[in-house]
Amino acid sequence: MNSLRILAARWIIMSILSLCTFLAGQVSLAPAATDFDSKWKDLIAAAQKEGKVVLNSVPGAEMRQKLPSVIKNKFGVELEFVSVDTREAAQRAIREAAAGVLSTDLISGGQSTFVNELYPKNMLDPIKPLLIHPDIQNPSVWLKGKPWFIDDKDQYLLRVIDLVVPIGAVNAKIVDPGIFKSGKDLLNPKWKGKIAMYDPTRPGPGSNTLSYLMKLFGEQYAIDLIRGQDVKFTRNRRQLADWMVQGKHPIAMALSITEFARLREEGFQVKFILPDDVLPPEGPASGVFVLLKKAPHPKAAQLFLNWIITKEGMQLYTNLEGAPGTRIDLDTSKLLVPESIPQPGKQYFDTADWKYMTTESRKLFGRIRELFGR
Amino acid sequence: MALEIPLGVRAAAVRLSFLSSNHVLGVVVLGLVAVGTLLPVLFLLWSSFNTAGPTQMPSYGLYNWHAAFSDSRVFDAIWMTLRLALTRVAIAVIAGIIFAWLIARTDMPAGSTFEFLFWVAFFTPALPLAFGWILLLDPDTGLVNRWITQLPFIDESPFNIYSFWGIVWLHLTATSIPVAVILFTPAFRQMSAALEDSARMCGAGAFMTLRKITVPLLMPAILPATVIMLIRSLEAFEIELLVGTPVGIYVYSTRIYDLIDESPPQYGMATALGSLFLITIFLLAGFYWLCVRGRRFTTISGQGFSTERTRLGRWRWFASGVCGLYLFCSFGLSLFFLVLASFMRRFGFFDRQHAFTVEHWVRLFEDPILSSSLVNSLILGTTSALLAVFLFSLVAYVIVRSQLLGRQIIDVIAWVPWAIPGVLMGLALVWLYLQTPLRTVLYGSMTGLVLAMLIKELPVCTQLLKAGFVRLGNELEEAARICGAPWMLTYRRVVLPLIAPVLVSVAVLTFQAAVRDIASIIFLYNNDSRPLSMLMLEYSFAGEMERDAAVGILLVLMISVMAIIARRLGFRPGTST
Repeated sequence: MNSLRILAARWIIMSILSLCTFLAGQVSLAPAATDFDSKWKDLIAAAQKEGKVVLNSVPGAEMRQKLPSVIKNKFGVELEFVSVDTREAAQRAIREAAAGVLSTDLISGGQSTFVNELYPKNMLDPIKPLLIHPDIQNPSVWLKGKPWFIDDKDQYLLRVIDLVVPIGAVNAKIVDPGIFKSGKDLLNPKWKGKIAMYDPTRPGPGSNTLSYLMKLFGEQYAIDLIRGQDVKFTRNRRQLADWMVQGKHPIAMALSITEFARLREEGFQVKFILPDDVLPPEGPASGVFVLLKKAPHPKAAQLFLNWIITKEGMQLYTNLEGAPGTRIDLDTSKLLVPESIPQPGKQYFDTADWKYMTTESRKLFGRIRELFGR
Repeated sequence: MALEIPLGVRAAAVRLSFLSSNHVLGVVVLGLVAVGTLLPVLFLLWSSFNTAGPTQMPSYGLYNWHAAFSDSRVFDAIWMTLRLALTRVAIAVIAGIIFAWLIARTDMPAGSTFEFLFWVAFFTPALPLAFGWILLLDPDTGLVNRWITQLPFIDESPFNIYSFWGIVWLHLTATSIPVAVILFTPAFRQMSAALEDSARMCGAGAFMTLRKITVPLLMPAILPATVIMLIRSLEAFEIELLVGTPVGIYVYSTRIYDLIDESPPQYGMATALGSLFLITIFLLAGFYWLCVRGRRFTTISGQGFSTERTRLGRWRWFASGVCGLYLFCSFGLSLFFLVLASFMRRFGFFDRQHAFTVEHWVRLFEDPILSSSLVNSLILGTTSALLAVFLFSLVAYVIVRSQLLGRQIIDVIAWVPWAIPGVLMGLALVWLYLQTPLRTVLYGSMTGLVLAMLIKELPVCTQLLKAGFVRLGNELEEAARICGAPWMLTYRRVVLPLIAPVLVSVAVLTFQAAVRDIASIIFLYNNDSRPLSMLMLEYSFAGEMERDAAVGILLVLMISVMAIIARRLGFRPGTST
């Protein structure tokens, strides 16, 4: 009986302690939530006052059509979406900033231009301090345990996409992708005249792919591949895709993931080339955001950036891009190219790695131009 | 007894009359031309010596020039460019003269319809057409090659679009021959048949009359048109990129484009390379001046105007058949490709399930910026066309009729906007706009785009109008003035109606250039002023060729409607003055 009383007393004490702990937790959490809600409302109000946010982004009709209406409906803020090539977007920003008439707040695109142009010219504002959404504190939702910045200061170049970028793709009706156990299998004489590539002497996917292969297998490999196999260059990604599915050049190197996804959507049998001795490259494609210094609509830009890292924002963005995001709680079941989703535990070579981009990649590209520039 | 006034005295009287009453106007017009053309180009040349980056303090030197021309590949590209340009211009001029003569000077059936079709052929965007020709003439997969190799004794594909002649063919069908016909036909139409009648009475046949009388008389129209085509050919690079790159054919403009497309862009070097066009254009302008100086080319005068056309007899149906066949092979197939592309799930893949679809059109009309782009293009095209007719006719008139000091220099300067490739001109304008206090008015606005188009189209419009005025005698103006008409009334009621076909050509050419141009305005537009051509470029960049083709059809329709309205308003290209 006595022991029962002791147990009951312990239970009551534990319950009271648990209740106190819970209440204490609630008390400590409540101001934080209230604080965020209040900041969020203030941010929305400030963004509405500015009226709009201007985003220069790589051409993509679906994105341009759908994203502005979502932002408008959700926050009452106009998203002015200007479709423009990343290099031109950067040059536009440089020209406008020099004249003091900057019209753009944000640019999204491939990382190279930001790394080589805007970042060294000190034209960017840090994004990290502007992120107030509670999700940034939750490591369990992020692929890297936190929002992914690719710059050396870890706060300027926000990466929202991470996808596997194959070195090439094949028309599977003509070429069995399983044949390529090694990257050197591409040098087999039977593929002579059958390979096409996005022009590697220009900045872009072709140079990225060939630089990586050259890093792995050396300069002679690149010479044997390009000259020995009589690889045809093109600067038109649609042409590269058409050549592959027509069978004219059934092996397409540096084919864009967008073209690949479109071919698959249209029912073509196309597959990635993933040799065993080539660590699969991964990259952000055009999913890197930067905030321009002295952006004309800073609050609206901050609101957009905070929204794009939420589950809702990134889900919509990655759906429209057709590529996996840097959050791990996104639904990827609708992606047309599941092979492009990086697998947990598997190793990849990050083509947007800061050190690689700012040192080795530049040297390799320079050498490619010397070797194959026409 | 009629009082004979020497020709030189009458011309001087007209010039003096203009000089006395409109001297200020003339000076203002020429001054505007000088500022509008020279300023961007001088700005560009100046910046070619700046070796510092855009955000650095300027530092001047010859590095860009040295670096640009020390690359031996540049000279290979120049040689290839010249070969391509001269080949296709030579073919286009001969074909253009023949077609224009058949349309304007002979009794060939359906000439007016053919002329209109040449216009529409010229309006049709080149890139979807290039894909169409690749579909037919690819050496491995081309449909025509496949059909031909199924014939006995033919083992190899006879055609290869990825070649020198492939590039020439694409340019001839897409632009060169249509533009030659468009530029030559008004001149042929404006010529009185009196001299041709005389030649025929002396026993000359139709082709001898064409060779000995018609073509020499029309040299003031043929020469500038040829120069215009040659310069345009030197500047072309889109088709070369598509079918030249895979087989290692690079042209000069590709090199310039490459430098601008570098990361970071090498604007200084690109401008240094572009300056070669400046030298070329002055040489060509000098050549033109040498050819026409001291000669009279009056074909419209107060001495009656014969509209009698050369009778081709039994050859008229043959001529009509040749014209029709050419138009079918070039324009007919082109239009077919364009329409087909817009209705195919993936252009060129006929063996797919559900190969045809209206999805691209549905998605295009769902695009929220389509309507604003359409309206912007209409405003841009119409405003540019009207201003071009008004301003450039004055410029040409002042150059031809006045004796203002320095008018010959202005005549040469008027070529300058075409002396550098369009993309460099676009850059020059954006830099210039951003440097002026008017930057908020010009940059990103429709005003800025219209101004850019006017500067860009100044050379072709002025030369065409000048050719019109050169062929116009003084007698009719003189008669109006004797009757007491002031200069402006004479200009409006006598001069302009007499050169109406040229005015229509200028208006339609400017309209189509404004709604199709990309290079000159790519740096200048913003979200509010985005025209249809930029929407088309966006689809093209995104690899959505089918929607790109659908926008192309909208553009062709828009320009065709404009041309039809021009005809309805009375400036019928098929009507003689």
